[in-house]
Amino acid sequence: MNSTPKNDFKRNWFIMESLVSKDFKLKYRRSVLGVVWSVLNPLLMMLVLTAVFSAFFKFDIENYPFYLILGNTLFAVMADSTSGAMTSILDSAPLIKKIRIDKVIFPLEKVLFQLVNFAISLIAVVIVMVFMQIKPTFNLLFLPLLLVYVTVFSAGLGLLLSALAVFFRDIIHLWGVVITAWTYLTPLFYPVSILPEWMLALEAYNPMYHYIFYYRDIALWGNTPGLVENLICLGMALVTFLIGLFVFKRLQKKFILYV
Amino acid sequence: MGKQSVPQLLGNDLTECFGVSEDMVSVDHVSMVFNMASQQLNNLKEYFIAIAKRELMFKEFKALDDVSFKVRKGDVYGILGTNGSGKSTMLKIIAGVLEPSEGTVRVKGNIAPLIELGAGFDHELTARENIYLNGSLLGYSHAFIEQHFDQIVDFAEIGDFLDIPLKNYSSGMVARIAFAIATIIVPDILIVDEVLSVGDFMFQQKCENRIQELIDEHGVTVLIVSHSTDQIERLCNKAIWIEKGHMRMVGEAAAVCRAYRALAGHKGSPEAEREMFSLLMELDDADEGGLKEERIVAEDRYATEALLLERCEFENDDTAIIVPGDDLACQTVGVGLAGAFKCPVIKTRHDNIESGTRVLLERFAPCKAIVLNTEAKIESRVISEIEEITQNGCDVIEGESNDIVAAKAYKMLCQRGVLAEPPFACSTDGIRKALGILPQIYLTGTPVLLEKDGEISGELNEIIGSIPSDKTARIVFSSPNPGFDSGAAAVMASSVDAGFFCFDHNDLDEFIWVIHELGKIRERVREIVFVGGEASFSSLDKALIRRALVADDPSLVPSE
Repeated sequence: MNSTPKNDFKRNWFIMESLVSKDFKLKYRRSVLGVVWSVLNPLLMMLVLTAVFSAFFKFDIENYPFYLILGNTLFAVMADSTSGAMTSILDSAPLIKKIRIDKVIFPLEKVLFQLVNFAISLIAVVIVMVFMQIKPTFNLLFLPLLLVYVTVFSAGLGLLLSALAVFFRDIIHLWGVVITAWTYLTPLFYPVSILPEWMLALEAYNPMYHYIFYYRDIALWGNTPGLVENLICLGMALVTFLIGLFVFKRLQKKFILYV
Repeated sequence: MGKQSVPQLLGNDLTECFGVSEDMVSVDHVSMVFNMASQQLNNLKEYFIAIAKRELMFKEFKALDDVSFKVRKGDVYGILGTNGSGKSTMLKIIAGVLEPSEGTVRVKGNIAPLIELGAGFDHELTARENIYLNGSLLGYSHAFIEQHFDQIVDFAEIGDFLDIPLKNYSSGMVARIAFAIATIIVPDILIVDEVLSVGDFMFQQKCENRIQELIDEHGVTVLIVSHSTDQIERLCNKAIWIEKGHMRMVGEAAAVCRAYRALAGHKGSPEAEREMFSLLMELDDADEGGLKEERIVAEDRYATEALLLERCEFENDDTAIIVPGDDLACQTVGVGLAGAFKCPVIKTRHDNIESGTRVLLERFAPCKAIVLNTEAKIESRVISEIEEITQNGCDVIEGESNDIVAAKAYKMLCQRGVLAEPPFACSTDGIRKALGILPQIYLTGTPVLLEKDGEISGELNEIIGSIPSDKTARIVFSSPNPGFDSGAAAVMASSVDAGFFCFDHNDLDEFIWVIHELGKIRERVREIVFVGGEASFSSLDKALIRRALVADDPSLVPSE
């Protein structure tokens, strides 16, 4: 076991693989439908929201169910992975206290795990797409790029939260509220047109706004995202990631004393 | 935490070790400071309050203070120390989990951490899944685990249960799996932290064998933390003893273990400690010098008492003094009373008559029993049972505390006119010392008076006032220490005309004093009797006492 960077990476990757597989097994253990839930869940959610919003609010959006499921599944990647990552260091306290291990692994693994879930939920997206007869375009090839943005962004937030949560458990309670607020602030189930001018200006600084409209662009509306849009998405992801990594690296030596 | 006065006993050979190339682990002046105050802050409110109060960063706790040692290739290194003395902190620093506040640790080669087994297990997963998960956490590759999977399963003896969730396993089985995974590789350095204390005897044996195999066949360097000096002595060649974060001793495992056994957890002045230490270093498994040695111990203190009193003859066996078995002060009063009557003093449990007590009662078959019953501790059914055995029933001397009982007993002696000696009064810091003269108290029938909490009660005052001024009462103070067989032992000692020492082997000052005293009388002593089991006198204690009696080393005689 030489500790060259390559070997280290290989080792850490294998650990993450094992942890993702553990999380996956635990998530579906003892459920009859198992992994089908990852497909069923977004579909059911979509049905409920469609029923509510098209009946009560009469939103006039073309292909509303698809509009909904795209936003919801992508937002879930961020929401679930940051929530998971936040407690990951605390949860792996017994390990951190006993084994010399790269601590970055734990929050990153949670993000990877949500990415796997997202991949499964894509089946639901495809089902809706087929059902609503939406024609796929070549723009869908941008999806991997979008996933990189979202993953890097979520990883950055996850790192930041996981490090802070070690010192201030308040964060754990607070984050649930933040996520809820964020859900309503981002046009997931309502059209942008209902937003007042000043809110729209504010949305420019909401990374999730950018990512979700990027997704709808390539999957629903068949638009090719421009260079500027890509740079904005990438920039937001990178800045968040670097801040998260910096804070994490600064604090990680003290984790063992507080977990 | 203030400065701790833990003297370093031996550590001079350290400097000479530095600079040797085959060092696998070199710990160089490592200190570890924990900030107690800020570690208790778990939320923002507390944090801001602490900032406002300027309390942050103040309370410090030094878990390790300037510890240095080197582990060479092939060493099996034991780390000894009482709970909370910093052993595990040391191991965590070596394992790279913790970073020292000061100093450096250099480690050559890879470390297999056996620090608390099964840290990475998930109890919902099956054993098979856990083996892969834990293996990956320990840094094994997938291929490596696959290759050694059968070997792990064989060692852990879980072949039939591979696909059952771990939560259904017994803790011993879990420990077996964890140990099997951790030791499947041949590491350069193996760290073992109390792991051998889990599991059954067979498993411990197996683990020890595996460790031994790693040591013998692969030349693995091992660090072991344990409370068990036996284990350290058996497995290790070198050892370090850390106490309250300070290095106390580094050296050969056998020597360190011996010092640890005799000194760890014992209180005493630094001088006593140093003297005990030098005695230990001189100690060889020497001849017994023609000393006859005996140990008197039975399953409980009542049975032990029966063994002791069996050897005594009493001038007066019409009377017996009954005392509560868990009250040392009351027993002391009882010995004085029994001495005046020249009769036996017998302990009883407060809620039941144990077989040892029954044997004595039946043997002496006293006409009359005098029961000393402080705070009515001895239950009435026990007293009525005693009454049935004795012909003329019981006199019960009762009182709400021992000083009142003692005073009443003294008055009773006055009334009956059996009083021979002026009373001997005791208070709360010195019954320990009074215990040493119990044989004299018994022999002379000196009544014992007690003082309560350093205050002389009215009754005691009255008695002391009535004693003629030329016979001043001596005052000794005691700490009640139940469970001793000192009362019966003293009665036996005076009955067979033996010398008597009553001391706590955990108190080094007392121990050293006894050794000095023994040095003065060593020519006369032919036989020694220990009353009490391993907990009262370990084999090492006995060896020290034997040596004090046979040694012709003038250094043992006090210099004054």
